[in-house]
Amino acid sequence: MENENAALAIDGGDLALGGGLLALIRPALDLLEPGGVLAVNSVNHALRDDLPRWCQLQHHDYMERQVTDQEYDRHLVGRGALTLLRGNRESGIALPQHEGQISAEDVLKSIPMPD
Amino acid sequence: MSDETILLGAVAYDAKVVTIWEGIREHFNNEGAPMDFVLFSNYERQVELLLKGHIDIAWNTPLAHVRVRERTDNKSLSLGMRDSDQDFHARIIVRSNSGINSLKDLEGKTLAVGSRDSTQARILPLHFLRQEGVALEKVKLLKFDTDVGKHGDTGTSEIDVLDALADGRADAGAIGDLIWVNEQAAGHVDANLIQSLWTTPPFDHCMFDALPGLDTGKLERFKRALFAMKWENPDHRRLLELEGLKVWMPPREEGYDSLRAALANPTP
Repeated sequence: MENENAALAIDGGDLALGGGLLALIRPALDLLEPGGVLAVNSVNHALRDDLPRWCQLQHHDYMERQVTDQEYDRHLVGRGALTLLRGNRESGIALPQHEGQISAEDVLKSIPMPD
Repeated sequence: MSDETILLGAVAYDAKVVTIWEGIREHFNNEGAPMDFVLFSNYERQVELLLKGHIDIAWNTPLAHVRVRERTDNKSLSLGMRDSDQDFHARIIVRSNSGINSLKDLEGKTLAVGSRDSTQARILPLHFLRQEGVALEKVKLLKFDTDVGKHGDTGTSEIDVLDALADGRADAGAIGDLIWVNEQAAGHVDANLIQSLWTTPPFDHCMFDALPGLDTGKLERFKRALFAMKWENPDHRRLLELEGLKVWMPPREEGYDSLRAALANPTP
């Protein structure tokens, strides 16, 4: 997996934006300083349109989509310089990183689901 | 109130509209550009009173903007738009079990669409589908004409479209990508049940319109105060966030060409 230029990467598999992927993307972006880059690897083609629009609405920077030779897309997202600070629910959480990646399992363990 | 006051029209599609324009009015006044606003219940009335000169500037939907351009022989003044108004898209979404894998598969199926005056949920999706070769007469349209007059601003008809897909009244639907992404982010879309099939070509959304005879002083003061709003300023940012933009952009007309074409050759 190529992660050059990205501080963090997540493997989104075939998750849709609203089908669990945002639960991975949001805490991953919170780990980054403004300007830091997250790589989102995905085989879900709907993300090609959904992720840039979500980034625009959330004031993150959708940088580019790279097509890999392993048939997944690699989306590069920069944390917006003027994005809002995380909420209380996510504060103080330190997600473990495994060779520059975080796992869905760790995210789900660390962040309580809303009531 | 002096004659120098810019009188701006906007449509009250949501309670937050009052907060937005009260705040922008305060900013304009602080910038030496006295401004007041009038709220309308529908865009048709707003356009008519702009054309009669009862208001100086109108904050218009794409449909209202195109009508103003047409009624003024393209001589109206386009003053500015949001960054988020540029390259808007609509989506064709489908139920996962609908058997629709391509746009041609829509023929014989039920397609839910938004209000007849919604650019993003009715007018342009149907226009673009016809351009893609879909025989619209073979598609059963489930029409949600809610909040007519608001030109789709409330998003109510798009929520109706999503509901129709969720409960199986429709096989497919047309909505704007703003609602599509926001509803997904809010966890309101079952990704196992509803998926995006196709994204339309881009088009542009709202615009500030004025008549060509607008006082030059008002025109210059308006543009100066509008473009002085900065995301970095917390007071401005609060208003910009409410209005859904990061930066005001200069106007451009090419983003309305598809809407003009759609209105010249209406779909069912």
